[in-house]
Amino acid sequence: MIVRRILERVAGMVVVVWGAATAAFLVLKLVPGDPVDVMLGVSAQASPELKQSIRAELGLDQPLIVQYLSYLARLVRGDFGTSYQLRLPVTDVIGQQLGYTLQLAAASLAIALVIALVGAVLVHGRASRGIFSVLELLAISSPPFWIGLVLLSIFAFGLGWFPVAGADGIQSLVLPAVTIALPVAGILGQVLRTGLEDAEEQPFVTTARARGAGSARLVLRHTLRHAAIPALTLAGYIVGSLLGGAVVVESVFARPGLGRVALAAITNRDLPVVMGIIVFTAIVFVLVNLVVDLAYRAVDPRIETPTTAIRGAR
Amino acid sequence: MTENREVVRVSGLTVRFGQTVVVDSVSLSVAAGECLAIVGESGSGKTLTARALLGLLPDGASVDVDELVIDGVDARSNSERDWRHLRGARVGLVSQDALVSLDPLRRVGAEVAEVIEIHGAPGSGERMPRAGIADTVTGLLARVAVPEPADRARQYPHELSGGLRQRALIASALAGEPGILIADEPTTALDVTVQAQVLDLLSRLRAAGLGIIMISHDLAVVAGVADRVAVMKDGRIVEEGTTTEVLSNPQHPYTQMLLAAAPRLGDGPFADRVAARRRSPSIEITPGGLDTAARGPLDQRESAPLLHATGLGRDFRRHDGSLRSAVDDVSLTVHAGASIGVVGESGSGKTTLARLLLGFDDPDRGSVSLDGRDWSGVSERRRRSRRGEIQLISQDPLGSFDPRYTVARIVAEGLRGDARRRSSEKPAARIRQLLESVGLDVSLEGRRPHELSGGQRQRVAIARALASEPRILVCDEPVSALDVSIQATIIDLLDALRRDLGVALVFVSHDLAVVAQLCDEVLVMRDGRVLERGATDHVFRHPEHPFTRALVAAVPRMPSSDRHHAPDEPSR
Amino acid sequence: MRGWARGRLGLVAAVFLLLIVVAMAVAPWIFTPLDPLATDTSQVLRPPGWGHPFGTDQTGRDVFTRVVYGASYSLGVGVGATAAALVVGIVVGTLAGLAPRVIDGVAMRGVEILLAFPEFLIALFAIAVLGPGPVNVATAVGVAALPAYIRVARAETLVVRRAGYVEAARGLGVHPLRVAVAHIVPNTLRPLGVIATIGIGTTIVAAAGLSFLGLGPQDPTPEWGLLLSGGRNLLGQAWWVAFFPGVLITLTVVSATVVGRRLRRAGEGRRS
Repeated sequence: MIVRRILERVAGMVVVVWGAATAAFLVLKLVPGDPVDVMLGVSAQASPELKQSIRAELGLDQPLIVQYLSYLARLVRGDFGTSYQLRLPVTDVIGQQLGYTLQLAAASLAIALVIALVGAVLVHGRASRGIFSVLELLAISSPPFWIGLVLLSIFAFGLGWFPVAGADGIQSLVLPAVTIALPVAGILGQVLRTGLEDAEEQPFVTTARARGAGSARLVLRHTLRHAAIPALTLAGYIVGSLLGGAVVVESVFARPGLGRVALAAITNRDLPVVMGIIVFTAIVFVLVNLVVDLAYRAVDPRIETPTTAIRGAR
Repeated sequence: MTENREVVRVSGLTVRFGQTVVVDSVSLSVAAGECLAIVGESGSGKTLTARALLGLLPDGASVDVDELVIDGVDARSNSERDWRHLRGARVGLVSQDALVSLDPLRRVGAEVAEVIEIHGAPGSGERMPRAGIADTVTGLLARVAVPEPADRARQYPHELSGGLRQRALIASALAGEPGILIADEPTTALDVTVQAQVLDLLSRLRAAGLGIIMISHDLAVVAGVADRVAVMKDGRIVEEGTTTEVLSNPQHPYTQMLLAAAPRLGDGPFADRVAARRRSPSIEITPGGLDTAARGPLDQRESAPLLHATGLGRDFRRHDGSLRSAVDDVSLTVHAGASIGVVGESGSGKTTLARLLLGFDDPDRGSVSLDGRDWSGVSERRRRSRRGEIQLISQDPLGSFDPRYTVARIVAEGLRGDARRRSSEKPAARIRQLLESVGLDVSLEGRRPHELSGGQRQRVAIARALASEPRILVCDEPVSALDVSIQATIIDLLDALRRDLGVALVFVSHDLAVVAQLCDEVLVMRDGRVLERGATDHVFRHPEHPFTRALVAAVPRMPSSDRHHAPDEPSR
Repeated sequence: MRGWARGRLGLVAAVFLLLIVVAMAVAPWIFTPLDPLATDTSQVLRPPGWGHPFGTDQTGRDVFTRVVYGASYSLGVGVGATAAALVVGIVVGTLAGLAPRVIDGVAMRGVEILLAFPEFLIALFAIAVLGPGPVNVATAVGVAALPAYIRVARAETLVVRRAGYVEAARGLGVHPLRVAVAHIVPNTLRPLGVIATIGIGTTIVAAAGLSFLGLGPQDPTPEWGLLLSGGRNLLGQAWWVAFFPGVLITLTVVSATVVGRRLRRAGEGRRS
């Protein structure tokens, strides 16, 4: 049973990645314009013969299905193709920049978790949650690029505490990480706080209080675990905010990273890089979902498939 | 009464929310080894009274009390910190449904151990080592008769049966060895046989010297356990006395009404009781206004059955892939104007059977015919025009109403679905007539479902069902969610419909007493099979199958007026 | 009354703000006599003050005027893209929810694959396909929002389909089509409408983000995201150029969210 479940799970993950790869391939084949022109640059005046030979070299003269199959075959081997623009393997392009973005994402997540947890635990069920909920709302609603600009003008241009741009050292990481973290902290804090408040209305809390449990014990031993369940459902959204935020924030703070690569590839129509990033994101999300599922099981012992009817009694 | 020391003494307890008084100068006392029952309907203030004894009133409640002594401690001016020292150590709480009253994310053992972790070892208050706590937990679970207590302690609440869960909850309340246990509807969520076991456990704990305050809506449940009964209404105790006195010779009209409304086994013929109750104008019903002439009276029973089910079976797959028969080889015949009860505990297959009869689900084996024609085997398209003949009254009428609809529109949907409607009348007039016939004020027709009381909702559901002029009503626990006084009026209404309109009733219930009141014939189900069937009176008086016998024996009984017996000598 | 944002005061303020933004989008000339494109070399980088409440930019254009005129594009994209995504989402989601299991399963696998990606990345990839431009930005954010609406529409349909009142209607012999029209669709629309109200805010932010990255309208068009990105290079000297457009975006999104949440609570109150 367990082996079968794991196999089903892995198969599901492969299907998602395959689907994303196929969609990326199909859609990007529909993009108007000749990739060879992109490769050579707008100004280049290449002869039709040269273009033809490049096309043959890249396999672009083959029928679509052949191109697709060889694309899949290369993907399986971990070969994402070569960037038109940078003339480097896509894996290298992504690999070089991955570190910067991971650093940023990890720092943002840590900051967001600390703000959200501390805020939710301190404030839930108290009068001060009103002010807190307004702060949450502002953090969720503000566009990250604007938060970045405000932080820049206060802390970099105004106070000069942090560098304006670049990626050297912890100093340069603070403002970009806070920029991404604030909206994430807003939504996470809100979900944790309402989760705690909802859990406190459950009958088992009355039972625990009737045993003499104090509020610290209630939160740590009982309600925080319940609040963690809705927070876990947000994991996908949060990772999305971290990656999407990276695109914008890396641009605002002129930091290197995957986001900059993606933006450049999109503006320049560097299709292999775009496809590579799409497949990479799909893999990230499949892994995140796997981790979230495992975390659900760890937190909530009740998760089990219920008895189902044989036929569609829906 | 015993000379035992008092474990609770309260006088002049008043609880307010703003200007509203919800508990009004309540006084009570309980001695060690004594059980006091507080009985009342929803909104009577009984639960708030109990919570006040734990200092656990909801935010916004203000308390005035002249005297409040809990297990020898004056708790009048307790701070939250003082209350925490009392809770668990001197007073324990057992609430209704252990599935939600135990933390579902924690192991049973951890829940039982929590009191000891907080207060230390009972008596000494010293911190206990982990191993010591584990042994104590096992001992506590064994004390409340949980089998294999060490294994159960490692399981989660949802992995235990309802009865075991409730025992574990009791064990967790006993862990600090409190002098007083507050049990708030401790058996309401349980099957009747399990309920009997839990009540028995509480009796034994009381006999061992524990003081118990039991909160209940059900006089019969209380009758076997309590030494004294306090009846609450609108925040006041309207009557208090020994259980025998209150139940056999009630003084206050409200207590008399509660006793009259409570369904019970082994009473005289149903008709007498109804007739007696009809004299009170508050529960009058008006079946008039319905088109009775077209139906023919009850006693002209046609020989052909209305509904006929043979060898019904329905299987579901468990998540490990094996098959479970929810309904197995059930046959059933319903004639016009008949009333058939289907009784069983949870999981017995009675609801699945109801769905098969209604054609909401198709049987894997056997067949159902309605009015002599095939019903279970035909397509939904062909069933649709005949659906008006057989209607469902469910336990949850609110869920069966579109929340956007008004009462009039809800009932109108029944008219529209009725293909056999003689369209001589205006729909609006017909709707009013239907509302009147179920005893609803016509002024309610513009209300939305969430603005109605529980009893009104069930009446609207019945009116909608009647709109399509059904010949059979399938009632699935239609009164389980209602207070007893409301329960009685709905049962009267259903009975009147049967007698006056000749509508047949298939009445599915876990409550034997309700079925005994209403049904001529009864089927006892267990694990999807019919164990026993026959005339209701006969089956309940002389049950043959051992399970039926256990079921009947487990039903809580009130001492009847002519046969006094002391409550401290339980009959079991 | 749980907190300020849920109070009546918050709701009134939110509705008022939304009305102002709508007025800005429909009739910007009410708010400002100036031309959003008019440059004035004598008024370069003036800080906020009389005459220029939000200051001026490096070519002397009035930031307030440009913010006011920017409302029409941002609000148009927010409302238009959300409405389009909502309609398509309802149709596809409801059909999937009512369809036989096989079709539903296939459709939902597809939606799940799309849902694996964050909305902003989908919008970016859509721009990669469509190419930059103001209309393409609107399409891209609409496409990005779509999977969520499909999923919610389907989930709501499945919930409502199992609701007691649908079974009750079936039990009364009501035709399935009538059940769908009278009960299922109206009861799924309410939660979807609420999500869409909040979604307008998300869409405005996403569209402004794409413009900010230079993928949408180009200078000198007054568009909120573009105004911000123009202000980025002036942060050292003129904070106001980037600050005020961001304030407007945030206030608009906050207002839409407050109204949406109020609608949701009204819906929940009615349900229970």
